[in-house]
Formats: sequence, structure tokens, C-alpha cells
Amino acid sequence: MRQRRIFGAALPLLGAAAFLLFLVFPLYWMLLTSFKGNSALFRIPPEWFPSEPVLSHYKKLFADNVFTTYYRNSLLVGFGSTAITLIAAMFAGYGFSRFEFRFKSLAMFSILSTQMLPVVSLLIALYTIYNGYGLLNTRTGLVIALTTASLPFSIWMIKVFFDNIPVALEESAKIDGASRFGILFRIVMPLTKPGIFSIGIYSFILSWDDFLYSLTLINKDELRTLNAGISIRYIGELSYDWASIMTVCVTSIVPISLLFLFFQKYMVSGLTAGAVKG
Amino acid sequence: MVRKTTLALAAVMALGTLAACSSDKENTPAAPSSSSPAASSSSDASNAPDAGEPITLQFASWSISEEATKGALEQMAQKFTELHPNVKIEYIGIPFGDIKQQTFVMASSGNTPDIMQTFTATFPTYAASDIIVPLDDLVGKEFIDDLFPSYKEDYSYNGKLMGVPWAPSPYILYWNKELFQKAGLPDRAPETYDEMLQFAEELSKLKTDSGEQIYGLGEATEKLPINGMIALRNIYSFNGSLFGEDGQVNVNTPEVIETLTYYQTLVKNNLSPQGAKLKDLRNLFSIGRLGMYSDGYYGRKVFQNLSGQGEAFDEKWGAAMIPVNKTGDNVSIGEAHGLVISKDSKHPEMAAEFIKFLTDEEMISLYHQNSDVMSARKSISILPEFNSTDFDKTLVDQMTKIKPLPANNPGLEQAYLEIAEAVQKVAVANESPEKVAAELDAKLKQIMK
Amino acid sequence: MHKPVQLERRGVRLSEKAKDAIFLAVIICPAFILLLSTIGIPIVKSLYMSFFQVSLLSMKSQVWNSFDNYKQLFADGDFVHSIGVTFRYVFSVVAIQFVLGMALALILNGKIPFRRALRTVILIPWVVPTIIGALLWMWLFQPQYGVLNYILQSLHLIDQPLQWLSDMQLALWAVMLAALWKQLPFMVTMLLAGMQGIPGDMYEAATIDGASKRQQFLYITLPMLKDTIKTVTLIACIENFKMFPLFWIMTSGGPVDATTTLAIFSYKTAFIDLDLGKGAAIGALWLIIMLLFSWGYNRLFAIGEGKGGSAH
Repeated sequence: MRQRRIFGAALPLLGAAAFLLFLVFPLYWMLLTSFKGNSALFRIPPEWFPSEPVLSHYKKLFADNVFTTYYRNSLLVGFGSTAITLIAAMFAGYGFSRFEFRFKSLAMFSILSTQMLPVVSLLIALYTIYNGYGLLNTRTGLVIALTTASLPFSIWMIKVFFDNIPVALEESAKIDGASRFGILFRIVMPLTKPGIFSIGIYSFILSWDDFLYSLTLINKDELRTLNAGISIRYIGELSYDWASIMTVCVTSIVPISLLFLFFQKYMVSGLTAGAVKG
Repeated sequence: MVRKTTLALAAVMALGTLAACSSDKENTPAAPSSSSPAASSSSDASNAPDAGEPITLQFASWSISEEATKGALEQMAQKFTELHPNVKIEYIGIPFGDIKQQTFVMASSGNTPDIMQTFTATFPTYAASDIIVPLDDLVGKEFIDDLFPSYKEDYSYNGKLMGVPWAPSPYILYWNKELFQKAGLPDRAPETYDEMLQFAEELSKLKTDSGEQIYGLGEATEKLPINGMIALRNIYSFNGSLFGEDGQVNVNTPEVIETLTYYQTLVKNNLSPQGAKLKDLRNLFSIGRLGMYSDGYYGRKVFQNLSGQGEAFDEKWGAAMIPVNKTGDNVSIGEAHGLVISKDSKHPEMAAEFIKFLTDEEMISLYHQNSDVMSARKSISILPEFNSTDFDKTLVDQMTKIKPLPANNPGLEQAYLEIAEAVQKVAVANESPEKVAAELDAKLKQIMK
Repeated sequence: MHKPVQLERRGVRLSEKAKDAIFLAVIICPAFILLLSTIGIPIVKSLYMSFFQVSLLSMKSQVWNSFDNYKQLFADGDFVHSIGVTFRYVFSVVAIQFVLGMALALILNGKIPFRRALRTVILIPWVVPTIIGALLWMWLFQPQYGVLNYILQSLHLIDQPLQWLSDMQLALWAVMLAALWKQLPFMVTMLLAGMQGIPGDMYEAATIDGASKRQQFLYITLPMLKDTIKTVTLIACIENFKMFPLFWIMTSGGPVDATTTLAIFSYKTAFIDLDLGKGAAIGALWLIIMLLFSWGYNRLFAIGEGKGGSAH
């Protein structure tokens, strides 16, 4: 019995360790690789800690200051599309949550269906339409494209958050004479702030992850985003320069991870609040 | 060394002046057409771009953003602008793996860049499409006649030159001298396929210091069109072809089956890594885990970087012609980065001018110094700069012994991919070469109607 | 009270119902118009194109070919094969992700040391862009000098280096591993958040009633998490159905056709076989499959819901 209890306590720890290994080891390896010179890189058995760490890959990367540009563009576009997504998703999600109307589920499914095809199979038609709007090679165009990529899921998720806010609160506000927008902004929104926050992060990461939209809609180096930039420079024709690839990977995820970790506190509580079922 | 540089510099300067003169001539509408090919092509004065008119040429390229070639290309664009102050070259960097899809997507809206970079395995799709223009009149007959015949053919479609072979390379055999010595092999490359396989077996018995496997002979078998094209080199070596006597597709032949068996044996006996891309082979060769493999001129620079040894690594390998097999000759194929001009271009003459500039002696020499690039022009490839080392000479010699690829056809790129898949079927999935050849035959007959 | 009075004065009297309708239109339209005008039109265009013979070589010429694209697809073994691969990939990766995600969420929801730090650290793979994740895993999988083979060999779990991405049986699983690594954090976070929303007194009551941990999980945790699970797994399914970059970078659909999913197949049809019409037809069939799937998914979950499931 006692043995079993010890086992029962150790099991979660072991499990956590295994998961941690799976999730963190690749990141460690990425970091490690970025500090290895090419002569140490392919050595077997591998070095688990760089015996002679080199900074040359980082120096090379930062000598080419185009990466700061890519970085800035990714952030700008990410924040822009997140903001628009949030506003549009909040409105639509509230509508779907609070009102019953004909063809509601058809409407919701047609919104979802815009996300069912991969971008790559719509590439030509997408390009044509953005060309028609004159939005090629503009940040606005990319922001709109990324917004449409994250909006549908965001609407679906935000609806669930609104569903959990008791309608009674709104009704009493209505009696007090609040307008419909007033109710949405002053009563419902503050209650779902954490939920909105987590959807914001979700859509930010989606746009951070984007590659094809930015490659296709943007042709100018000064407007390119990080993923397109990495792929242009490092997934090249001739060789896998692993150390350089890993270096750019590290530099691209460290700052965003920090940002993310800072917000993470809010995010978990946000998701928590949203998950409270009636 | 110093003398060589001075010489080169002098040559560059002399050429620069020459080029400047000829361009001056072109820009003067009244200039009488001279005999130089550059001038004659654009002697049609009404079409000649006005010197004052500002022109922007968009050039979609992957080499412009890759570290190895970026510097040289930027320099070239700058030089061109010095010659033609009214012309601005706007590079559009697109990743190697996406450039075809991206340029066709742009073409769907009539936005294609003026000039696009492509390479031999993908070129057939451009050639057969309606997004590019024929170049015969734009670059002129003299230029075309100067091209190596096999390259001219590889870049033509229906009798018209559709692209300019820019940075060409034959496939040659790279071999690791250190490993040869370690395996007790002679200090030379194999001369025949049989010898090559025998060497490969010896090399494969070697292990690294930590007991890791060393491969004798690498062949690229990843599922990519280019690897299907590379397989043609082996098919040619086995005296095979994609076509029968009657010119119709026929790959259900003993020669093709033999080629597939060759791939199967290599992988089955662990002589070659399985499912490798050429990139992987370059990496393995650089770290002394691969004894031999075939590649273009790109090898040297990549090894220098990846081995971590820089130029010192040049001593450790040799380059040789592709060994002789069933044909009794060193058969290889040629690959090339090509340049095409889009139908959407508003300045095709100037675009052609730029392409000719990029392939002229001065620029190709510069490119050659930077990355060992060869020239597809006979008159340039015999110049001393392109024959100064053994490596250069091997490349030039092999260049004269390359067999043209199948004539461009709308289905050719797809056919290359099918061939790559067939190679994977025998090498990775271990299917019987006879069966795979029969299936491939049926597919290719359908694709290359 | 201000506005209605004003309106009345001007002689316009809107019923509450009409005002609701206007309000609804105003809040739903922005999203609808945005989606319709950017993604909606391309989808419709693409559906339209699926009835024509269109080649990448001459995109301007579109010839009606009386459902030939569809006929070809149904006769094409490769299409059926790629649907099979896609479903195998999606179901495996989402199922594993869900089970592991649940396990990790339960662990992190329990009382273990460094809980907060752990919750934070495991999120990092989520911010790694997919194309970077693909490269990272290719580096780990590299058969000759990749670290994964080295570790497995040192532990004597394998004697020969595994070929990972170029092995007929292993390739799909290798890609799944990379997908799992990137997607697991999202799953864990969502489930964990759901768990934290379950009122603690429910568990206390259950413990007093003598329910075992397993019973608590089955009868409290799972039912309470149902909505979260439904949303998160549906999103995971759709995202994985259309997964393209991971496959394209890691395997290009090979070896042979072991990892040729629908996304890869449609790309190949459009850009290598140069058949845009057929590529569009794949998209159309795909959309139908996905809609049926999501509809079935919704129904499936609704069956388990019962009536009193979500009492407000």
C-alpha cells in the first residue's frame, strides 16, 4: 500500500519529466547548435555542451541588419491583424451568442468553411483578388489576409466565452436604459476580458506562424516578414547550413517567447474564465 | 597571385570600357548597326530604349538572397546601372523551392517580373507556358550560336530559344582523397562504373573514428523533379533514354531497368544513403562521411563552409569526369540556372540587354571567381580564367561531353518527378525494377503525349 | 431613454425587434463582409474553375469540360490514397495530441513542484513557427548525424540508425512527431484552463462520497470539459487537415507517396501536373469532405450532450 502511494506520487513527476524532455530538448538542441562551429557540428558522439562556443553565426546574422526589418514587420503585421480580429470577432461572436435568427448555423458554418482549404490551393485566386484591391506589397493587405485567417476560429471560440455570461446581467442593464453597444462594451466585454485576451494571443500566434500569405502578397524585402525572410535566406538551393538556420531560429523565437511568457499569466486565467461552464 | 589579380583587373577594366562604348552606341538612335552581336540585336532603333527614359527591371531570383551568391549579384546589378544610368534593377528574392509557383501566381494577374531565374528541371514548365517570350530576336543569332549545343537545346522549345543558360554546370564526380587513401584505393578517381562500384564497396567498409558508417557512393533519391533529372544521367550512362528508336516514349527497356537496379543495389548494400537530397550529399561529403558523389560546380564552396576548414578542404578531394559505363564515353548531363523574360515585361529589349550583360565575359568571370560558375558560351569557356585549375578543367572537359536532356515538353517536369518517384520505389520501397519500369513507362506515355 | 424619444419625435418608431435586427446586422456584417470579400470570392472562383479545363501553362483559357476533372479524380487511385493518408495523419495526430495533452494537463493541474514554471516553459514550442519547427525536426531526424538516432543507439533501443523521413513506414509518424511537438502546448493550455474552471467543491463532494480519482475524472472532469474539448479538437482537426508546410519542407510527400496528403496532392496537381482545373476540383471535394466532417462532429458531440448538460 505504501509502496503504491509512493509510486502514485512519483508517477506524475516522471510523466512531467518525460513531457518536459520531449518539449524542451529540441529547443535546447536548437540553442546548442547555434553556438557550434561547423567542424563541431556533425561530430558523433555530439557535444552536449559546446566545448568551444562560437558566436560567429550570431555575428553574421546581425551584420545583415535586414533581420531587424523582418522582425519589425512580423510584429507590426501580427499586432495589426490581432487588433482587427479581436474587434470583428467580438462583434460577430456576440451576435451569434445572443441572437437567434434564421440560417444562423448556416452562417456559422460558412464562416468556418473559409478556413477549411489550405492557402496553397487558393493561391492564384487570392493573389488575383488582392491585386484587384491594390493591396499587394502593402502591410495593410497582409494584415487583412492574416485577419481573415484567424477570424473564423476566433469567432467560434469567442462565442463560447459569451455563452457563459449570464444573460440576466444584460437584461438588468437594458432596463437601466443602456444602449445595445453600451451593454456590449460596458458589461459584456469587461466580463470576458480574459477570454478576449487569450483569443488575441491565439490570433497573434497564427499570424506569427504565417508563411505563404506573406511570401505571396509581399515582394519587397523591406516589407517581408520573418518566416518568408528566413526561408528566402536559409532554405536555399545549395546546402543545409544547419548552424545558421538554428541561429536564426533562436533569434526569431527568443524575444517572442519572452513576450509570450510575460502575458502567459493573463492568458491562463483568461482561458480559465472562459472555460467556466454555467 | 598578385599578378593574376592585376591581370584580371586590367581585363575587367578593358572590357568595362568596351561595354560602355557599345552601350553608348546603342543608346544613340542614329548609330549605324555595327557587327558586334550586342549592337546588332538592338539596332532596330525604334525599339531601342531611350537613354533618358527611366526603366525599372524586376528580376525574380533566389540567388540574390542566398549568402553564397548575394554579393556577386548585387555587384553585377550595380555595374549594369553604371552602364545604363536610367535603368534600375529591382531584385525580388524568392526562395528556391517557391519561385516557380510564385512567378506563375504573379503571372495570373499579369504581374510577372521582367526577368526570372529558373533552373533546368523546372524550365520545361516555363518554356511551354504562355508567360515568357522567345529570345531569338532579343539576344540575336550570334549570341545563340555561341552557346554549347546541348545547352541551347535544353533551353529551347519548338525550335525557339526560350531561356538563356546563365550559370551552367555539368555533373562531375567528386571523390574524397583521404577516404580513398584510408581504404587503400589508388589515388585517382574510378574510370568506369564497375570500378566506381568496386571502390564504393571498399569505401563503405570504412568507419569514422567513432564507428559511424561511411558511404561509398551517394546518389540523390529524394522525391524532387531535379533528382529525376539526375537519374537521367545514369540512364544515359547505361546507354538508355526516355525514348525508343521511333522517338516515342519508351522506358520499359533493359537499360532503364538496369539503371533502376543500380540504384537499388546502391541503397540495399548501404553504399548510398537513402532518400537523400543533393544538399544532404554535399553535407555528408564535407564531413568525410561520403566517398564519392556527382554534383555541379557548387560543390567546392559548400564544402569549404560546411567542413569548417575553409579553403584548406580543397586539398582533400578531387574532381573527375563521370566514369565510363555502357556507352564507352564519360556521359553526363548539364544543369544550368537559366534566365527567362516574361511576357508582361514592358522592356524586353532592356531585359535581354541585362541578360546578355550577366552572361558576358566580365560578369561571368566575376561570378566564376565568386562561386565557380561556368559559362554556357563556347567563346568564354575556353578563356584562361575558366581553365586555370584542375577543377575548372574537369568542368570544362565534362561540359563538352554532356548529352542534351529530352526536348522540352509541357509534361517534362512532371516526368522528372515520376522518374524520381520510380527511383524511390526501387531504392526505398524495394519494389522490383521490372515492375517499376513498366509502371513508369505507362505514366510517362500519358504525361509526355 | 434619450434615443427612442428622439426617434419618436421624428416620427420614426422602431420596434425593439427591428432594432435588434439592425444591431445584429451591424455587428455581424464586418466579419462577414471581410471574409466574403477576401477569402469567400477566391473559394467561389475556385469552385467555379473546377468545372473547366485550365492549365497553368495558359491560365487565361478556360474550357468547359463537363465534369471531366471530377471524373478523373474519382478514377485516380492517387486521390483516394491521399485522402487515406490525410485521415490517418489527422486522426492519429489529434488523438495522440488529445490523450497526451489531457495527461499533461492533469499532471500540471495536480500538486507538483514548479507547477507555474512548468506551465510556462511547455508553451514555447507553440511560438515556434511551423517552418522553423520543420527544419528543427529535420535536423534532429537527420539519419547520419542527427542527435535522435545517436540517443536511441546509445540507449540500445535501435541497432541501425533509423531513416525517419525516408522510410516508408516511419515517415508519416516522423512528421506527426514534429506536428505533435508544435501543437501539444496549445492543447494542454486549453485543457488546463478548462480544468481550472471546474469548481473545486465538486471534487470535494465527490471525495466525501468516496469516488476514486478515476471516477472523478470520468464523471466530473470529462463532462465539465466537454465544450472545451469539442472546440479545441475541431480546430486541431481542421488545422491538421490543411497542413501543408510541414509535409512540404520535411518530405515533399515522399518517400514514394507515403506522406502525400490532400494538401500535397492538390499542390502537385496544380503546380507540377499543371492542371489547375483538377486542382480546383480537389479543393471542391475537399470542402465537401470537411463540411460533412464538421457537421458529423457537431452531431456526434450533441448526442452525448443530453438535455441538462449545460444548465446556466
